[in-house]
Amino acid sequence: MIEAAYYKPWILFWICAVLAHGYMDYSFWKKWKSWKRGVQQTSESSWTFRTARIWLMEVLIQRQLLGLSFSRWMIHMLIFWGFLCLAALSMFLFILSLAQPAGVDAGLRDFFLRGNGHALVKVWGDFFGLCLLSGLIAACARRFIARPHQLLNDQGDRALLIFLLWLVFSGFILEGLRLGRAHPDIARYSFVARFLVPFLASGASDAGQWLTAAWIIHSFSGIGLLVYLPRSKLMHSLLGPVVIALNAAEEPDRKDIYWPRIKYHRPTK
Amino acid sequence: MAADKVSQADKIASGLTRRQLIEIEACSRCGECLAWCPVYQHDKKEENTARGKLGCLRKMAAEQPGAADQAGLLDGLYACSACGQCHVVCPIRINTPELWEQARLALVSAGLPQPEPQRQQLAQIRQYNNSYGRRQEERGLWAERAWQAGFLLRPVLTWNEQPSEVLYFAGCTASFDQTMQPVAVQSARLLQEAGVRFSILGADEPCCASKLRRMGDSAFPAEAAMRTEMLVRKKVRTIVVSCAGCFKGLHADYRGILPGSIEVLHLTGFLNKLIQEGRLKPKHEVPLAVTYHDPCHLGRHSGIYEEPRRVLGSIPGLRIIEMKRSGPFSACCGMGGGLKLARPELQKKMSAARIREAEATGAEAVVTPCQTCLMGLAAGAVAASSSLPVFHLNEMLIRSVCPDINFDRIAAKLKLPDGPDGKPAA
Ligand code: HEM
Ligand code: SF4
Ligand code: SF4
Repeated sequence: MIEAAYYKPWILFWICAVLAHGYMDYSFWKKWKSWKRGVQQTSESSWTFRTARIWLMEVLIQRQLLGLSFSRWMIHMLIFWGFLCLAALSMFLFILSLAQPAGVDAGLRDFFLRGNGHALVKVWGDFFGLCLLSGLIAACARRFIARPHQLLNDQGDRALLIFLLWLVFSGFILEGLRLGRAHPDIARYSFVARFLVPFLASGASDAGQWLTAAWIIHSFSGIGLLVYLPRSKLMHSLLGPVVIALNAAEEPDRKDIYWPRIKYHRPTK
Repeated sequence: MAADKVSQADKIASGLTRRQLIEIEACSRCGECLAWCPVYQHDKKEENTARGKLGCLRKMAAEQPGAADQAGLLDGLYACSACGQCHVVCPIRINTPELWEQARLALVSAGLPQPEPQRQQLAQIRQYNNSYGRRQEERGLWAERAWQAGFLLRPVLTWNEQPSEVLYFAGCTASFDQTMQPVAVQSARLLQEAGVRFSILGADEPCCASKLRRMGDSAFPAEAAMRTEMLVRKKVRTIVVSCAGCFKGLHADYRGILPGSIEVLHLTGFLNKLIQEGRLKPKHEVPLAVTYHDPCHLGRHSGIYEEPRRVLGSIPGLRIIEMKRSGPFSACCGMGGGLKLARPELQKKMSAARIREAEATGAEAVVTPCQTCLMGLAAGAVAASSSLPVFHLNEMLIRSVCPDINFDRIAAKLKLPDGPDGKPAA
């Protein structure tokens, strides 16, 4: 059984989402044009199985970070996979919401939002939300408490972490409020957010208004990410894989670059 | 668009490759480059790190930058030996040494200033075809004088006298710098001991011009094409180079210019092959524990780590103790990328630090196969008040193959009195 409905300002949401997307596309288009000012490179590249393997190891498993430090690797893995899997879930549900009215969703939307698949959605959302949250908290602890010398604490560095934390926190609050109105059989699958329910339920005379407020905060923050992305250091998540691929294609056989015992040689631990 | 309307940002961006423009925005700001940069170790300014330079470059290529960005970038870019350490450790794999060299070219082309000593050096190379400002006729004299002094088994002929299967390319430093001429002499003697038929270009040997590329001179492609044309005309097939810088130049910077039919080998790889084939036999014991310094241009830039170690390993009695920073993580001695010209005090500190690292291994000497590193490390030993001897790899092999022509003996014998201009009389 799905949670009881609450008011969502969809029209405003769509207007802002379209504008934000437009702005993001425009920013990327400007970047694309600015890159095209450069000279076209002619270098020898080989796109082979080995290149693909390097790319997978460097991007999906981030082997270089693992070689350097297990804790840094774990922090980034939690952020990376947490973020990607939550983004994938949102995208999936969004596509289904478009597919259903067109009658091409093969009943999947009902299955995932009302049927047996709902439990999977809840577990997925909470699990990867927890990954992202713990990764971000650990990154904050490293950045603001441990403060390794190599980290620069610029405004941009701080802003990204705080922004992502805000996004994931607001998501959990929204989920906790939703669960207050959900059937316990379903609520138990949100194994993180359900602990928030007692705190969020107490004193809230009209959960509907709170839900609407939480929904606005979370979804509009998500829209904010679209605007922020091209100007933030999160660009590395889009361009990193491109640069890694180009380099892997150029230097696929360089064992000294791709598989060394880096930690052993590091000047400072 | 009229030329004077082109903004500085556009001028800089159009001097970089598209890939490089993407790279400058891909940095994750992890700071790993900072932890390894041998320059930052001695001058702790953010712009000396790859992250800092990328940040300034990003602003310079995107918009009208603040004065601090421009000053920071110029500072950081020239206080960099383009050693490539940041490329090896960067989790995003930004190809930094290529980027720094290209950025220098882009900045100079956009009318930004370059350190005066670098400008002078580049002008000298273009004018004299060597980095010492000497007459080209003097270039091959080391060979004649070494034959007269009895250091060689046979006279070394020039290509014009007799083309051979191998061209030995000594490079400017070993040809003109008296303290480094033993490197050329010992290289020639080792090739003769192995029965290799080789010639030199003598007065026709050009500067490889790779310094033009390192320091961002736009004349590089044309100069490289000219040299290539000469090598093709002379029907050269195999070039053996004893300088790590010239090797990177001919092997990597000439890529796409030099035809694939011309093979470029570094001396250590060639010597290793000769030893494996039994043509060169290290026989005398050299009872020494040495540590090996990987030149950036040979190691990180060209991927040659094993061959020099195999050559050393083939010498009876000689033992290698590795420094903590070795192979792809070898700390730069500061001699590359024009750093010595732009920031000599920094270069000295880097060499001294490398010497201290070598000392910490307990080795009795440090060995390197590059004459430029050899010069830098020797000066570093003085700066570090260290008595650790610094040897060229040739010297170790010579001690095992034909110990009568050791480095110091050659240097003493070939030394010329200074002429009226303060340069050695030819
Ligand atoms: C796609 C491939 C990606 C690569 C290769 C990559 C690589 C990196 C690296 C090397 C760091 C520095 C980590 C450290 O120093 O310990 C970093 C930081 C960071 N990455 Fe990524 N990343 C990728 C994708 C992503 C994605 C999808 C996200 C999503 C949010 C993300 C979020 C972050 C954040 C927030 C930081 C900063 C952490 C801090 O402030 O300490 N990255 N990334
Ligand atoms: S190591 Fe690479 S990604 Fe990390 S800060 Fe340096 S340049 Fe940027
Ligand atoms: S190339 Fe070497 S000297 Fe230059 S920034 Fe990178 S690590 Fe530092």
